[in-house]
Amino acid sequence: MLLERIRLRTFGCFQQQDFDIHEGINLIFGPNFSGKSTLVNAIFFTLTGKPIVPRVDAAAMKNPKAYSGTAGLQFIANGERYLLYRGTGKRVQLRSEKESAWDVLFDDTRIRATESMLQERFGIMHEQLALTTFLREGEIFEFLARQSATRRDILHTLLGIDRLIEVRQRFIDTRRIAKREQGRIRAHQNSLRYNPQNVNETEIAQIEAKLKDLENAYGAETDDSALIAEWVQHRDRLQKQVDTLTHQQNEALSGFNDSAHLRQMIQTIQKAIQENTGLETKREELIQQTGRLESEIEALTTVCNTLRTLLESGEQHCPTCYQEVEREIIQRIVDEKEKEKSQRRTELETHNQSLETETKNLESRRELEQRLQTLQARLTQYKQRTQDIDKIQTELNALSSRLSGRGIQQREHNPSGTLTTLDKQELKTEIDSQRKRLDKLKQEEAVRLDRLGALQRANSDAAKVEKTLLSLELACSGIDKTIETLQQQILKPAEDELHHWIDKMQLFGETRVDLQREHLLPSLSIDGADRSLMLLSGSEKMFLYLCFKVALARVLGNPGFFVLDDPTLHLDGERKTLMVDFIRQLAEEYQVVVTSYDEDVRTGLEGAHLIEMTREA
Amino acid sequence: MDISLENETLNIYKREIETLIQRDEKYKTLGPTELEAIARAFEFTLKNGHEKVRAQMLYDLIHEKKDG
Repeated sequence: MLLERIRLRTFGCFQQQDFDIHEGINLIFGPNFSGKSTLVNAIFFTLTGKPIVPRVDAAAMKNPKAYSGTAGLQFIANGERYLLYRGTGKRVQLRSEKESAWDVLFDDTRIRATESMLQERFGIMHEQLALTTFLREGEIFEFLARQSATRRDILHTLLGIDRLIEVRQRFIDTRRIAKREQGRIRAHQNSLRYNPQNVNETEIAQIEAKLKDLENAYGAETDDSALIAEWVQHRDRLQKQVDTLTHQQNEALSGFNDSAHLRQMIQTIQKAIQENTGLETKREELIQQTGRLESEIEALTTVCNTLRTLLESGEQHCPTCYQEVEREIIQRIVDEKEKEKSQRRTELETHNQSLETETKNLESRRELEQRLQTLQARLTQYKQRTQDIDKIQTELNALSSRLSGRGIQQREHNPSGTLTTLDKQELKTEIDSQRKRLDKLKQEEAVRLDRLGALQRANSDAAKVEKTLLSLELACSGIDKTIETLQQQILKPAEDELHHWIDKMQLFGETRVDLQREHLLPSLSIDGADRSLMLLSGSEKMFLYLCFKVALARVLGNPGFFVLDDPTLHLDGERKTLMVDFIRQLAEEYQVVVTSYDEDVRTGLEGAHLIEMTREA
Repeated sequence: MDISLENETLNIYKREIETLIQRDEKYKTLGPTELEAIARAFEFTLKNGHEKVRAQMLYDLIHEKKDG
């Protein structure tokens, strides 16, 4: 930005006057009350809307006799010529020159809109302009006297940190919302008091099954209860028959594993009997042989006895046949007969023994035959019972199927056990009771499941909000770190620049400057020792502060000019020369506007554009 | 704050929160989605100004991962 002209209308002590400003150094030279500071104020006011002296009402800058005052500034920025007017009544107008005519670009009375326009178009901000471009009378002492918090605020404004702090504050507000939400979710979690054990599910299933039976039974009862009752009774009868027959069937197989085992035994016995079929004949033959032998023995005994009687009688002749008795021959015959008789006895004994054996065998066979008959009878009984059972079972199955179709289960599966005997009223009462119980359990289950779902959602929400809180904590910490980094990134070059100017002006010896420790206030270390700014001389403070301003202008940006209001005030001759040198060096890069009423300065700045002021002006 | 400083600030901020996540164990549970939501909320507030951005909007941005 290159200043070209200051235009004043009923502003301060000026009624209507323009002041041309040139490139390089512009010296506004005049005595006290000639309006030098008013010109400085006019530039500052036009650009910022505020008086350069803090806490002064803008309206006070107008001509006391006028209703309002207007300050204007003609300048070149970005290759274009602009004319900016600002009235003490807050109206702001920006014009740009187009083909020797002025087009109005902006005309507004809103402060914010004007600030935004100036910042966007020309990068002008109040604090930045005050600190990097203007040096007003007594400013350095005010700056030094400022509280640390105030300087920190200025620093934050300059670096845009105030915006970051505002963002952080928003994150903190957001964290409060998240905390509230977390509290709400925790209270909700506590209110759920969930019991994870599912105690109702099994009971519900049981009651549903029972209710189904009862309802089916109730339906059957209401249709043809008499028939069903008869069927049930018949079914019970049949079942009893089956039970009895099964018992008898089991008795028939008593002692055997199964019917096959019984059949196998029968076959074995039959085979044994077949093997002993000729026992009777053999025994008969033995009996006959025994009888014959006994007869022969008896006959032989009779012969022997007769012959012995004859021998013992002494008769010479046989009384039967009257033949002569030959005793020796008769004796020999007796002996032979005795011998024969003995043989027959032996044979008889053998036969008797055989007969005894055969008799026993026969008895055994007969026992087997009896056993066979018994087993065959049992097999027949088994077969018969099996057939009977099958027949009854078929009928029972058909009946059970019919009953099942009517909802009547087997007696043993019927939980109540009295379905068929329940009358309709009892059934209805039971059904109602079970339904109520079921409804209650289902309601409890629904509530439990609802609570479970709600708790799962609440847990999920709690985890999510926990993450959000962590995110916000990170967001705030990130801003703190960003502020630190920004300060380092911006203030470090400012410190280097300040060093550069301090060295250039040869103000002190070996100097180290820290702008971060005291929030922008330079902390000096001269020749290795900390040096309080308060202990510097007035001129040292002035030069240091000017160097600081230039350093900040370098780093933060500057409109391209400096306005120094009476910078040599209270400086001795040597320091005035130094200041003039400083201004000349500054003018090599910047447009400089200086006010003074010091002839040494006027002499020192010879060649500068001179704006002479008088009290009459 | 001019746009270049704004962009520079945003870049610094992104770097800083990434560094914090890497350094601090307690932030390990946060993933790229959360990181992106934080950066988006920061940028949204920085560009629009705290007067226009309500805390509830930021909460929605970060909690619901909504777009700004």
